[in-house]
Amino acid sequence: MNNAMMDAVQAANRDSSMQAEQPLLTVDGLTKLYAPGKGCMDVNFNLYPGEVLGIVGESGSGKTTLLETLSARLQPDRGSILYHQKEGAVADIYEMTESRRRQLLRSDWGVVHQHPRDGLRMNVSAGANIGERLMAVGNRHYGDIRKVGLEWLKAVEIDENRIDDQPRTFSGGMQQRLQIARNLVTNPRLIFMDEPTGGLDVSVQARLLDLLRNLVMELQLSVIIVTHDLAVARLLADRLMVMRRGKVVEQGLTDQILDDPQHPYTQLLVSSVLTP
Amino acid sequence: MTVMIDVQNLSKQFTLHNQGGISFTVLDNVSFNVSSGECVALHGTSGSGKSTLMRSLYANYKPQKGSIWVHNGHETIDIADAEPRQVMRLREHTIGYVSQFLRVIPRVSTLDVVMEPLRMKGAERDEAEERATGLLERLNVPERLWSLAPSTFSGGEQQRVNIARGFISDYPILLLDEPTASLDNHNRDVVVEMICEAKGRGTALVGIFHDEEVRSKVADRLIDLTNGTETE
Ligand SMILES: Nc1ncnc2c1ncn2[C@@H]1O[C@H](COP(=O)(O)OP(=O)(O)OP(=O)(O)O)[C@@H](O)[C@H]1O
Ligand SMILES: Nc1ncnc2c1ncn2[C@@H]1O[C@H](COP(=O)(O)OP(=O)(O)OP(=O)(O)O)[C@@H](O)[C@H]1O
Ligand SMILES: [Mg+2]
Ligand SMILES: [Mg+2]
Repeated sequence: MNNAMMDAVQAANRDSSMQAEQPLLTVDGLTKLYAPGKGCMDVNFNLYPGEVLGIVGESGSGKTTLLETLSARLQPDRGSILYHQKEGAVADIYEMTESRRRQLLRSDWGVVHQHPRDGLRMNVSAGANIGERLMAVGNRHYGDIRKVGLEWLKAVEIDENRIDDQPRTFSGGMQQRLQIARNLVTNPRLIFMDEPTGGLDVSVQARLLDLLRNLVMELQLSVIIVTHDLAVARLLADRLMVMRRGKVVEQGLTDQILDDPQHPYTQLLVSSVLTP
Repeated sequence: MTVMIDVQNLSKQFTLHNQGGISFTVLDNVSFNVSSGECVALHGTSGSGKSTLMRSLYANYKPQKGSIWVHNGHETIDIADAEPRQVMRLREHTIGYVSQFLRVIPRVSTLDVVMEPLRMKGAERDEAEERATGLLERLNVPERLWSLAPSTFSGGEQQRVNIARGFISDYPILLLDEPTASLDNHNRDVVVEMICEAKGRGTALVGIFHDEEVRSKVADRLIDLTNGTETE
């Protein structure tokens, strides 16, 4: 990955990590409950530029609820999420206008869904899927859009001559890689991912993880990733948050949480798998 | 000589919540310090807590009491009580750790594994690659292995890859857990040489060395964890 376009993302994100003392997100008392214990409750953390935060926990513990709330897609019951905008101002994302939130989701932020069908338009071409976000940020030049589309296909290891094919004709792993390309094309600073490797074969998973790991490292992306796979968490996340019944029971450095878990539930989680 | 690590009254116990909640103490009020250019060996019977102490120095384990002051050139940070991103920064620039066993990452080549610490610091690929190949050559890792992921390598090959990774970045502080355990005599001597050179550059080293001969060649002091004494 050495082309000018990727260098530009890298440079932009490096600059912003120079002022790394300012958190990108400041989350305080965040709560969204569907019923007692169902959802997420009283979540607090700071996310700094370039950090990868993993959210782990058993099924139903509230990981997706938390991620949707964090990514401006689900109004919380209470609590605040302050976002340090590119332009410098800090604002609560649920106090912004609806159109500003949508704009963030189309440009500065990216969302990689567990199911490609939620993150892709299955019946338009791969190129159009990538181009859509570029057009949404005001790019109108067809030739440029196509060129950038080709570059990103290459970056996520999809054969360039598939650019006119629809994603429904792609394998699951290719669809996930296309989703990633679609998000990265606008030089986002923050990516939210919900089980991006779920539902894929082990070998396909390894390839996707390798790609994600390189992209995150080279582009200095900030990422919040939900996964129930502790090996994935170990590979990608700098820090972990362990959730149970809607609450964060333990958080800290990834390898410390996995190698020296303190909370009974984390100990159970870690000891239930072979080699996290 | 600058004090690079200052361990004060460190205690670590484990509580196994899912095994009847039993609790046992592994480190009890341990204090010592390590200066630049010095190699301190952790000593003691199996199970006495050598690896536990070393992992605590790297913030991989979380001690309950005491502090581990780490000097990073312009400030001193208690790594036992630091924020994750402070620990990450110390690991990027200040403290290297060669674990006893290499943790293999699927699909990542030997060369990339070795280069990664430099690349994370922002070094150019060419520069990192030159350093990595130099170290792999010196440690006699055959060139045909460089482009392969180390998962299929022998124990000794993996260990040498791990050592190359630990030495690529010239960290001011280096932690070594049994770095020569599965090496033949020739490679063992190479590693001893590398440790002595690091001392000469002013690196502060903490090591666990089962091999008596290696220990006597590199260590300036022993910290005995069996009964908590220190000897020259
Ligand atoms: N729209 C909804 N209406 C009512 N309850 C919901 C809704 N969405 C989620 N829940 C409930 O909230 C709890 C948390 O769900 P969530 O999807 O956040 O869990 P999760 O940790 O992502 O689980 P999984 O690992 O299975 O994806 C669950 O008990 C779920 O049934
Ligand atoms: N993550 C952990 N959880 C629970 N107990 C642990 C953990 N890590 C180490 N221990 C226990 O702490 C004690 C000290 O282990 P440690 O690995 O530090 O010993 P050591 O001195 O390095 O031994 P050796 O010479 O055999 O490598 C042992 O009883 C071990 O079982
Ligand atoms: Mg979910
Ligand atoms: Mg040990």
